[in-house]
Amino acid sequence: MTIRFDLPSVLTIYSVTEARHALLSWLARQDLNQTKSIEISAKNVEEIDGAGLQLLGSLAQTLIDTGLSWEISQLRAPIVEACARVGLDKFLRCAVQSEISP
Amino acid sequence: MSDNTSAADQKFIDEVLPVFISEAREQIEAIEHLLLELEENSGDKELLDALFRCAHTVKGSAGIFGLDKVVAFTHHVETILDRLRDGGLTLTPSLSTLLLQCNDQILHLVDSASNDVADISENIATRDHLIAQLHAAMGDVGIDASKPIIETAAVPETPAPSSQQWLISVRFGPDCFRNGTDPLAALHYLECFGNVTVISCAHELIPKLDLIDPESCYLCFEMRFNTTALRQEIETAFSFFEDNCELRLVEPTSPIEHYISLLNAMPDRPYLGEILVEIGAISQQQLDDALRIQRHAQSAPGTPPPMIGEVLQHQVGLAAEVVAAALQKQGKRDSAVPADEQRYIRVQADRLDEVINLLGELVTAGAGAALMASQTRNRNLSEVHQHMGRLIEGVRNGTLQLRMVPIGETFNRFRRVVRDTAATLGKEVALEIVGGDAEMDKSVVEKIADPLMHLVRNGLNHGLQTPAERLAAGKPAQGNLILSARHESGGILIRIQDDGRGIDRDRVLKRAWERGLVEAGEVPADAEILKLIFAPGFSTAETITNLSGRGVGMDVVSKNIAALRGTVTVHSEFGSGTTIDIRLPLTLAIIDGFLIAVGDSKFIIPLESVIEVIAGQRAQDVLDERGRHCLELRGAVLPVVSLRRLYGLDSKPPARVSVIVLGAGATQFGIEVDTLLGQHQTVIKPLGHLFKALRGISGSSILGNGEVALIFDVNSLCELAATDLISKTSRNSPLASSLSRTASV
Repeated sequence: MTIRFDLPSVLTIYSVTEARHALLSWLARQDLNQTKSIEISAKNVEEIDGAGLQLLGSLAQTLIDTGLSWEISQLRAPIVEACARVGLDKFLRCAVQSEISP
Repeated sequence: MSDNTSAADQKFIDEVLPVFISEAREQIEAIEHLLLELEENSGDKELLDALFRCAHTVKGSAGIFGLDKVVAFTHHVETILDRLRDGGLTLTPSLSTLLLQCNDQILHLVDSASNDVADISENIATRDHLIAQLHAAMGDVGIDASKPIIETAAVPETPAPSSQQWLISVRFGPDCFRNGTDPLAALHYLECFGNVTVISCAHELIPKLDLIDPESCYLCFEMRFNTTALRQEIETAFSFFEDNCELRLVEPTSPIEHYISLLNAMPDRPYLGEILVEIGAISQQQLDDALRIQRHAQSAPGTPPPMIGEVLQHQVGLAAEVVAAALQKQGKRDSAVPADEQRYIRVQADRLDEVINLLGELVTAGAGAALMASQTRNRNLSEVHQHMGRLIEGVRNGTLQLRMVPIGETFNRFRRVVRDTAATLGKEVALEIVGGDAEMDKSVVEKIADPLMHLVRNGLNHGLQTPAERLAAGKPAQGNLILSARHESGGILIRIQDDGRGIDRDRVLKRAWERGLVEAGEVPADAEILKLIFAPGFSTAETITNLSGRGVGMDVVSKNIAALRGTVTVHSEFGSGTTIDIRLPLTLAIIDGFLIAVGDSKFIIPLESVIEVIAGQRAQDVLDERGRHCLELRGAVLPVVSLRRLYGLDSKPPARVSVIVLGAGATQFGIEVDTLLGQHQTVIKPLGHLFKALRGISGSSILGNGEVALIFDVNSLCELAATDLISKTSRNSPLASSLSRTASV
């Protein structure tokens, strides 16, 4: 089973605390033993700053720890550019690939 | 401004934009000044370097705020300045004019930074035209000026062959986000200077979701950066992070010879560390760290302190050859420190004004406390108050000094005016500026700029002749205009002097008769005739130009100067030239005064005008029709005015009086007073409407006991003493009745 979380439209210093809380709550509700893969959808994300990118990095660290397959999908081009600018594109490689793939 | 700014960025920009605008204006002013200087010293490498730096600073700072139009346009200017700097182009008069016009546009763009609507299509067309001219000057062809240039400015430029690869390691502090700064913006801005070829984020330092404080910053980057920029320029990308980021710049490919050649090219500097930071051999952070280590070592007893060069060699791995070359540069330095090495902090003017106002109240309150202390006859209390008084005086002097700025900054603005106006009028004019370092109160400097501008334009338009006229008059083709400033009698004297045609008194008089300013047929004294040029509506110009000739300026000039407690006088010799002297007080807020009394009335004389005091004179009963008598003072006749008579004060004169000798410019005169009350720190309060018309008085002050004292305007008093207006002033004078009142504080 693949579980999915939709990121909010704004991931900036003003919203990262709320987004972290939502992510932690969502993860706590999941039965990861029954989960095959995790999809974090970024289709709604329109605005991101350094704090938002850092939260994605933190999320990636957490997801790696689950040992499950995961991806941050449907990233828009400006967000991908921002990831590349700070050198997080490889770490979040799933996101870049998902953006390029049709 | 770019549209893709977030709300947080916008808030930050709104807060800091006024600072950018203020600093950019200074740089733009410097560009103008440097261009004009280069017209006289073309090819001066230091001036060209400074010019480039100014344009580069404006462009770089504008980039931080996303002011794309400023960045794009300044980029073209910067490109041509770079060509001038490397000798690929020569600064011709026409290119200088073009660059000055470009500078005007940069100023316009900066001024409209907060309001894009202000940039009308006419200006856009002007800039396109200027860009095309700039490219034509550089020999480029086929440039489409209408193409948005921001692409070339904002996109990282292709590294020039001389670009170097830097290793940048930056660890942002935890409070970055909370302080409103964003590392992402810094990395974006860094790309203005070159290419980030490789970047890696230390993602392992970012805690997992359950441990992270998302508002704290854990970001740390290592990158390779290709650029031709200097270390300082790279550091500017991180300047908003100041203490909240650890920045290390390593230039692996930089040869020692490169630093040594930079050292040879730079002007001499006093401090070794400063030299090394300037050439980019070390960062400011590395220097600060090394200085800390040096201080720590100094505090250890029994060990000689290490030299900063040694510390840097050990800590930073700086090559010994570079340290040796920098030491040599330091050794060459003259004992005098150049003015540009003084350090400044920027303070909002209104905050300073508030301190000055409070200080004024403190001076008044201090005087009141001192008076009460003396009335208690408690010696210790009086001594404490005397000490406090001295301290207040020290604070006063220091605070007023903060407001002092050199008049030269204002004078330098006139270089462009003289250059452009003379060109418009077909005249050749050499402008000489003397004594630009004389300082005066900032508010006085600001308020005198417009009157000065008018007088300079007037001199250019009416005073100085065309080359042909000058040659016909036996003068060199090039006219001279001298702007000078110097301290005189505790005030400042600004002089505008030209060697033009001078003022034709006959024409002035004829025009005055025509305008009814002087009764037809009446011929006043020469000095009075010259004063007529300040009468409202007076102009002898046959043609009205956009420069002058409407006769609506000189009276305003005179009024504005009078409002500053200043005076303006004209000396002119027909055929030889005109000299206009403006005398102004150094400050408008507080002065050192000399308190005197006539009957129950108190007056304050600005201390700098007091030449000497002759005490114990017998009161004179015989006065001339102007209320004056004379004294013989060291073989010279000194006119002495009775204040009692002058202002119609009702009190019985004492048997013995004192005469205070005052100086007003070159003139000396005396005033007869009853009592000398000594030196007094005087906080100047403006006169109320009732007293505005009172001649010889410039303001009032509240004394410690609540009494009001009027402050003399010595120049005006001198004029008053020399004219036949005494009886008129005395009649209907509100002074006599009002002075006896005691003000409530």
